[in-house]
Amino acid sequence: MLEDFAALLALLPVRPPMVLVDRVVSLRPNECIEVDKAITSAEPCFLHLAEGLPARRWAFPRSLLLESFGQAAALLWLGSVAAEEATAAGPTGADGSPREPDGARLPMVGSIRGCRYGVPVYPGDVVRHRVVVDRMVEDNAVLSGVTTSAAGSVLEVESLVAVRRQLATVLATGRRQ
Amino acid sequence: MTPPADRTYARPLDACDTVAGRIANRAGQVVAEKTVAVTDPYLSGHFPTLTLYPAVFLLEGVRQSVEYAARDEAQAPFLDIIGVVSLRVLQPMLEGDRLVLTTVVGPGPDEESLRARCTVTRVELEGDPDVVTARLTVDLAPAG
Repeated sequence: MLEDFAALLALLPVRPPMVLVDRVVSLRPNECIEVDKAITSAEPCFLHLAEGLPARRWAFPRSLLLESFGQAAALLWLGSVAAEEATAAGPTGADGSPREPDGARLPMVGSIRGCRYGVPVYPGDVVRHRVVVDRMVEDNAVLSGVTTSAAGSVLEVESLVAVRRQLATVLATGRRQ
Repeated sequence: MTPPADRTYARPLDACDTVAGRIANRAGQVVAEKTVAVTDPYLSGHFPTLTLYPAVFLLEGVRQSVEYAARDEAQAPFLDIIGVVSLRVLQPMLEGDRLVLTTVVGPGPDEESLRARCTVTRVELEGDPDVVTARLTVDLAPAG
């Protein structure tokens, strides 16, 4: 499972340029995941910067680092669900057709708490997210973890609550119909 | 005020269309507006079938608006995010939504740091109350 980039994309609802994870290093369903993300200067966040900036201004935005961590968390959650469903009923549906991923429910951030950033990362660096499951119940998951690079600790996340919602629900929530 | 066009640090997008307010002596209030647009960087992929403003881009809205408001200071710093105390999404933010980020700034946990407490509201049709879509508390510090 998740042995290549195509498998990773099959699980995630995001698409380039918002895919901020590159490779699943290891996955233990319902327990933990390790995911790598390589920082490259070709990313949109580095476009149109002024000339002559000091090096620190070229740090990968910390908002995107947190999004990358969140996508690693999503891979752990969705990968765990997929593994359970495949084990319970095999790789095919009740009519024998190949089982399709659940694309009708969008995983989203519900809340985040207790993030602390460490060393900045730059083009050429590779960060590794290590995410663990604290709790998974139906359409909600609570996860935590750390992100590191060769230079040290990059990010610590005390708690990330992810939710899955039907697309129709997302469109209708809190809006006049 | 429209934020200046010069880009002096890497950022996923311009997260504020307008900014009003001032930060002085590590305190103040900032009000920024941002309309969610699929033409902004990254948003075409989040998601292909539905443009949903990423919650983490609210962190950018706080960072950029506080930095703009602090620019009048004699030594206006380059501020970076050092911590996210909390971020809670209450409502999805979709294509075309006009968001207002109201941020109250005070001293942060470390020397020279700032703590920014932000409430995000979505501007509704005339006569309807604005809807709170998110609340977040972010720590920022000068980063050189």
